Amino acid sequence: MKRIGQMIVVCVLSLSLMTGCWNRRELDELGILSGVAIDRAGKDYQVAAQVIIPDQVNSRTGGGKAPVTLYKAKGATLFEAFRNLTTTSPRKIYTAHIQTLVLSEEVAHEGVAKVLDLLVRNQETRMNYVVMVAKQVPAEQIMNVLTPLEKVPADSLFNSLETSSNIWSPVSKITVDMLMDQLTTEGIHPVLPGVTTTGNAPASQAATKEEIDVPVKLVLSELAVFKGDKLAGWLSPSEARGYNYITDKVKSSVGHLKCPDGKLLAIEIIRTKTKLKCMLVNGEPVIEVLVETDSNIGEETCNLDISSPVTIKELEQNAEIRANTLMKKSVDTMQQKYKIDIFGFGNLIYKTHPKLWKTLEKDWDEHFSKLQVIYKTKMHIRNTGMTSNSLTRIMKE
Amino acid sequence: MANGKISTKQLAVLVIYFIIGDMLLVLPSLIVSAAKQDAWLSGMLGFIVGWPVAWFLYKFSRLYPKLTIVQYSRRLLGKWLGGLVAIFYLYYYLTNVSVILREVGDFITTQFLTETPIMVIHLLMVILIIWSMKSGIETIARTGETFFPWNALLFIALIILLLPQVQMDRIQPIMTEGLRNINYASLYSSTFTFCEMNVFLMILPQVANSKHTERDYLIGAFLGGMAICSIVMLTLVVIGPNLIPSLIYPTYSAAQKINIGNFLQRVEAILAINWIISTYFKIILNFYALMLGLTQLLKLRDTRSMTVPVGLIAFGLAFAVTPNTVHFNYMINYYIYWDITCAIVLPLLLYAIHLIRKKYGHPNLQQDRL
Repeated sequence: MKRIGQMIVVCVLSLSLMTGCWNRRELDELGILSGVAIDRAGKDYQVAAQVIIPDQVNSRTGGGKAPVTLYKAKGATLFEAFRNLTTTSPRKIYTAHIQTLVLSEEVAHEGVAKVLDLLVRNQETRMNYVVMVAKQVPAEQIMNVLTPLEKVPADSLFNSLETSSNIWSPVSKITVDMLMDQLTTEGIHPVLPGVTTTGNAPASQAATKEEIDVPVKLVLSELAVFKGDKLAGWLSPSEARGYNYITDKVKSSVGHLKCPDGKLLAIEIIRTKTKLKCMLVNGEPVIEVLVETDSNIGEETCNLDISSPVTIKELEQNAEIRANTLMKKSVDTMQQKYKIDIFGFGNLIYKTHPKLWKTLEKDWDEHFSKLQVIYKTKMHIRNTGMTSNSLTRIMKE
Repeated sequence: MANGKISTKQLAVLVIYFIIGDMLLVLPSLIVSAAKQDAWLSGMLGFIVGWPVAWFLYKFSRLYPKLTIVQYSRRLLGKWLGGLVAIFYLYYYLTNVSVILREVGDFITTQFLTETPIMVIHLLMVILIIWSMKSGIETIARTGETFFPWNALLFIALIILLLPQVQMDRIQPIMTEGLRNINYASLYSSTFTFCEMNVFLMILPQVANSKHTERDYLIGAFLGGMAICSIVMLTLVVIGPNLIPSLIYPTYSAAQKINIGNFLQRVEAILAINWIISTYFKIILNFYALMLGLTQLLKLRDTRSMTVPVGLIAFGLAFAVTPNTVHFNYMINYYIYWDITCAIVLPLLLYAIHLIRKKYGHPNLQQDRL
């Protein structure tokens, strides 16, 4: 009898304890969030949540309809707005798989820290999604565009940001932990990539899959510059390129040079490495930017004899000058127009000369605008692709 | 239960578990908020200071190799005064048990089961502890021995998988936070790990006689200290000194960053499992010390009759010990002094009394009579 009693106790205990927790959530009760857009609507926040429709993403059952849907809700705080989503969405929004966060310009002007707090405090979300600022369009509109190649638009944004930042230097991918790191680190101000839409058809029409060239597309545009957590302005793609070179964010890219005859020559950058150095000249900090780049000739349309080492040497020198100008242009804009140190020069001084930094810290942005920066680029052209001299040169007259 | 014997190898494993214990998750936050990017120096300093403390505790326990602190404090100070010291230690162990239980509950309810009442998690843990207690110290030590290779493997895997995320320049500039802050931060890494090892004053008499006891004990303390240092360093270079203070479980956040080729990712639960296992050992060793001390103080025949009631007291205390996590994190700062009192001040005092009493009469003080 005692044995049977023990068995019953064990069975009851294991049934009640080992079958899982009581606030379990099954997959079909969750709305999996892929991206969020946050706008200001008067005093309230408006959250637009892009939620995946599992049936449509599935390659067997999918097709025909849009793979995601957009729920919108308002609230005085973001958390309320998120919970308010359930008034329109049948499922509770599950945020662990969020890929993209898009903020409207207005929200960015007010400060991103307020917005980030909820997403960082919440235990569900992870810190590896990307943050973007919607330029000139409401953030919600970004979430409303369907993308043909990737089924889930927020994934598409994430992926195109990742792909671009790997092979195209004006674009940089900033994840939320990088953003938080930059917000809390001394002597550096954050930047975020901008995104906008092209085409003037109503965004919802993009949902039809019948056209090959969809009428509305997402475009990664300029780079948003922040002072603290508040949006201060935008850097053009070429300035953004300088920024990415200085902060060593470029992995590979393509750039062009002008030949003497005015035609262009494209150089593919295979790998590049930037080192920043801080020197003291008469007690004043001077920053030295050292860039070392390996590249190939990718496209040559001018009439150069690139089979000769002399030409290559000249090309290398031209490319070095061009890279220096790019970086200088970017720094000049920040020094003269915005007076915001987005490059982390201040942080470099803090790390290498902590005592000097104590004296500069208070009005660093002033000091930054007068900071002397020296650029040194070393460009190596390693090969010329499958051909040496170009078709334009060897073509018969 | 007093005849339960554990081998020196098992002792070393228990020491390692005990030092890593709950600190695996919470230490980086405490230490970095005090010393910023110099936290790794504080971690090392805490290790350099803490290891001798562990050694001192060992030497102290060897004055009366067969007696626990509850027994010899009464031998030295007499029935009443010694009893008071013994009760003080027992109270300390009880608080340790409930505070660490609370840490487990807080972690689970913050990260995983947010809507589950914290008491449910405490209850599960308490049932486990009572069960282990009934099985005795030998079983606990063998459990440790069984789990240890897996835990070590997962710990090393965690470090290796995080290497791609390391940014060494996060610890620059070095030595700018001031010696005072570095010293203060080192208190966290020495007290919560090494000073709390005074629990072993109750457990060392259970270790089988061996020539290698001291060596294995010190090796265990060394490895545990190294693990703590490397966790502090790793969290610091992965997350950085600016974000860590605002994170409650920075090591967990660091583990979330593991991403090998967009394929091997979201493995932070491994860290959570590791943490819960090592924290379990910290709780059970404290609980064992409490139960053993209680039996010896009240001269009971065995602990079985007391295990469930005391377990339930710990269960209640774990809930009552702090109203919320903010209060808990505030309280932690005062826990340092308690640890120091129990691990250094009181033993030193007892040691002094021992020397005095040895000099004036009582030549056979150290003989075992119990």
